[in-house]
Amino acid sequence: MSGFRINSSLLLKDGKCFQSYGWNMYRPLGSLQTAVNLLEEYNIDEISIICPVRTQQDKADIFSNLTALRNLRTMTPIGFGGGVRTIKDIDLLKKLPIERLMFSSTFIGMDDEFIAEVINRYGRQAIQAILPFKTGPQGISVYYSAENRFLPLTKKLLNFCDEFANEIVFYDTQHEGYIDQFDVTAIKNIQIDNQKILITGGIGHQSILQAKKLNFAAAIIDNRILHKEYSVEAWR
Amino acid sequence: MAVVGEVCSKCLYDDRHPFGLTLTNSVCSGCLTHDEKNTLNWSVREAELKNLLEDRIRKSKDAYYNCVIPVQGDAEDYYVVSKVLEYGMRPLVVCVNDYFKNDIGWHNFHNLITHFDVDSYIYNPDIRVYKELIRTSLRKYNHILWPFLALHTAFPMHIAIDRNIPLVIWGQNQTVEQVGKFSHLDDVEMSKWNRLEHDLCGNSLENLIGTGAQVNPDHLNFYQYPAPMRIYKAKSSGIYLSNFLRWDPLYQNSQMVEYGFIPHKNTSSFDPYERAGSSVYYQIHDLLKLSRTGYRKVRDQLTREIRHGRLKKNEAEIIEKHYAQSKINIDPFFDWLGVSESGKKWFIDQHLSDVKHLIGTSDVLSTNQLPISLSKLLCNQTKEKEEFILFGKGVSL
Repeated sequence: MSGFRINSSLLLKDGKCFQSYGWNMYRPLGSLQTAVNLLEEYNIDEISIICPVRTQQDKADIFSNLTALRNLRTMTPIGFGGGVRTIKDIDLLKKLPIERLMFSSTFIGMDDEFIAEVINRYGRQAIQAILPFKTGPQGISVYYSAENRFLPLTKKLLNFCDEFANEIVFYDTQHEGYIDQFDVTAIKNIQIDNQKILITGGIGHQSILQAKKLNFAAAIIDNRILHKEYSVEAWR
Repeated sequence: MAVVGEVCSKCLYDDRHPFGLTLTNSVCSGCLTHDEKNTLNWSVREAELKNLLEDRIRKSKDAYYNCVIPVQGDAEDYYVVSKVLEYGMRPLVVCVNDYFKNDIGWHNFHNLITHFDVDSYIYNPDIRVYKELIRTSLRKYNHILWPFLALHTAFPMHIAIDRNIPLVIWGQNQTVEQVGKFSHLDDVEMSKWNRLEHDLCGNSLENLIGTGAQVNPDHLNFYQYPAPMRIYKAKSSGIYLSNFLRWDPLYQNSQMVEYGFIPHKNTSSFDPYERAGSSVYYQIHDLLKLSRTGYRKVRDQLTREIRHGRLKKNEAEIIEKHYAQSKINIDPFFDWLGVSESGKKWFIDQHLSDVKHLIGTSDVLSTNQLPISLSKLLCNQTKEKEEFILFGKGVSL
């Protein structure tokens, strides 16, 4: 297993990058290529480009992002996800400069047939499961975008992700966009090999230190990756 | 010009803003972020700023100057210098000569460094290279300030790194103040990405000179931002005071006359403080901004005043409509650039056909036609006597 990675995420909507705060407010960010160029210069390990699908309109808009991806020029490994749920969607991703595929509702809905087909085409090493979660009195729940609601995070779901995904991204929806707010305690005792876990949503320097200590695979810095000049080097 | 997109219900912006704008329930991200100004504890924020400054002073070791302040000589620069000195810092004031200053601009710059008794460094770029880059950015991007902005945002960081100065202190972060691209609490700093995405409109130097520019890349060092690793090793960073102080430009700027700042009467806006002393900012640059973005600078300023509660939206719309008709005299700029009559005519036909009706001369709207909430902050303003003064020491080429 390779060493700890510092990755970044970029949210893509209508071909442009956006920032998301607390799962309910968007701010603009700018051009995808410019952001990727500078992240490359900042020595980021991987970039996850996510098309947030939180409404049916978002799902319809996903295709307008494919042109931005198709024109992307970068040497940094790219992961892509958001709204990819059918073989037709998968076929649209052919010849795009992406190394990993990220799925959320496919895993939460436990669509094993579709996952098997994706693994057949891309290999299991390319698959990441994204679990956007929140904590509450009932424990941890995950956002199922296909039905626009949160569902309890069950052992069955975790086992499914563990079996079919190479890595699992825990996405803290309550703290996304804020600094050093990722709720590590929520996932500390999850029965998954820590080296398969990536964390994102409210990542800061302290979050990265915690993730390293817990031997997670990576931390994905969300909005604030471009807020300061040397976030990445300073936090390594 | 582009069709109007979705408009904010509170201000004059729509989603065509070049920095990007999001709308939530018809209210733009700029207005939503502006509302933070009414909820943040600014005493705490200022205390955080002072801690940051003290921390950097401690780390600046033997450097005599502990910060660089990039200036042009307008009212915001006066405010930044006054605050930085109030905090006990030792600034080096750095100015890139854009060669566009008029007599008011040069007065304001020299008065700034004299009144505050600060050390200064003025960089005069090779004017032949500079003009060639302006011709290229005009041809490619309909933009005449790209070369100056490239220098203005990069050169201070080069100075900071070379002289081991830990901080470059900027005034307002336009992306926060205009479109709420970040929260005040994000403490966003100047960076290579920030500069490229916003100040340079996404156009790198390599893209600019790619084809047709008759310049030697060896002469363009200071147009490039230093490499991130070099900045990281030098531990220099650029901060924005507007993240830490409750930023109200019109009010702040109006106070600067007590330091000898002269407000500049211009024909395209009510604001005599912002970019005062420029021969182009409210002239050809404003016309080109209109052709690129669909609106003129006065919209930014009116939106600002709506958010600060000094104007209602309908009042701002009326004022914008008035200034939208003010004509622009483009001849002095093309004479300065050395463009022939036929070249100017070609440019107007090819690049300014949508705004051709605004080329000419205009009268200034008298201040008593503005609401009192605004006019009371507009001090006595002066018209320039001489434009395009290359070096404000009485030297001319």
